Amino acid sequence: MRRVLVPIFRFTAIFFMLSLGAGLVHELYHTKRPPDIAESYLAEAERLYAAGDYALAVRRLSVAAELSRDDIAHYRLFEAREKLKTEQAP
Amino acid sequence: MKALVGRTFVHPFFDYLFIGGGLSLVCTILVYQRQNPLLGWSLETLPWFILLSNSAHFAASTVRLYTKPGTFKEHPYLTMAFPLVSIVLLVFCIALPLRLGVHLQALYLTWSPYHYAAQAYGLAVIYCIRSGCSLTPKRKKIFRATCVLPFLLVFLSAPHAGLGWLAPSLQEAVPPLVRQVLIGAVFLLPIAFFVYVYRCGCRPMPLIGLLAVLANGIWWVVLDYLSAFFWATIFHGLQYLAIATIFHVKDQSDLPNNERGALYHTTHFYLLSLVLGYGLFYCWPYAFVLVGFGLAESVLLVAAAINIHHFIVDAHIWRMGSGGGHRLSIAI
Repeated sequence: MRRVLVPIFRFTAIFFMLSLGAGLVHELYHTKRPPDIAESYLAEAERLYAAGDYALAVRRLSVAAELSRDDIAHYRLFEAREKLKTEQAP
Repeated sequence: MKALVGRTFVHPFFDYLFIGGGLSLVCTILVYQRQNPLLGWSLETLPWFILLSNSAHFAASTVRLYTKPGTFKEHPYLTMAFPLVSIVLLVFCIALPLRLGVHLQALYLTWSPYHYAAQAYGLAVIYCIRSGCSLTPKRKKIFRATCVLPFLLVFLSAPHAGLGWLAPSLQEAVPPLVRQVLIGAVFLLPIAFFVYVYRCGCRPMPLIGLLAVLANGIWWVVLDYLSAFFWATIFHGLQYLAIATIFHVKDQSDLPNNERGALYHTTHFYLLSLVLGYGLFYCWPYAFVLVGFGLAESVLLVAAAINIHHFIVDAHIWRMGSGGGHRLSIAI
């Protein structure tokens, strides 16, 4: 049985390493790509949020959430709206 | 007092904080007090926590499987055939995400709390053995049953997992009283077991064992399901990394041709786990995307498959003594 298992293991190891390498190249390629509109809006909103300008941050995040498929923009939008509500509360 | 503290591996402070789950209790109190599941950390920092603790811990079981002396001989199917079986199943699940993938995801979410509970039990037993507290097989069974109560609680109430996955109509029929009783039992029964062992005249069970079991209960009872899932994975990972590193260092140091010190083996083990964890969770899903599968199913199902692989591997590698007869059952 071991005669069969060893080549199976070697095949799996080679397949796994190749797929891992391909995935790594793809990951590296994506981290180097220029930021898209949603990302730049998100970055801008982060800066505004940190500066305490929640109203403007909400406007930027609304666009980012609209464009981005990433959950982070939606989460940030919710967070900024909550901050804005707290700030506007009497 | 010394008998109650037990015989620790590194230092009582380290063992109680990281392996026993003391640090997680501090964190749970803060999350509960502030009602802030992220404790003020920004969402961008979370992947770092997950990579350094959780992803590395999943990879650690694979690193341990292939570096522990004698595993290829002891577990030929697990080491050589199981990876291919896992990959084939994963490909089927990614190819049929709505028919198979959702069930793989639900299986992983259902199994996780059980795995955590079993790890708490395993850790408690490790410290009992180490501290000279002998538990008879019958007592071990009783203790194990008390340790898996948090799993039962999650099984009955978790959304999209456990009963919510297997029989959603039954989940709605579970009376709230059952949940209340289980919450009480999660804490009272391990304490009762500890007192029982203490009073039976034999060497007491070390407090770190009780702490590990109670910490696991607290994660699932005090925090809401999502916070519990998030923090439990981080602290479970930390716990696992610490104990796995200790065993790895001991195994490597005991090899006749060993020329390296404990620091080398510790760093080597952690770095290998970290790199593999990064590769598995952050790069490998893209390989599936490259051949045409969707990103969401690739990321989610690769994570689910790695989790399940980890649960199964853990069930086999945590054996002590000759012939593997003395099973610690840290998982499964």
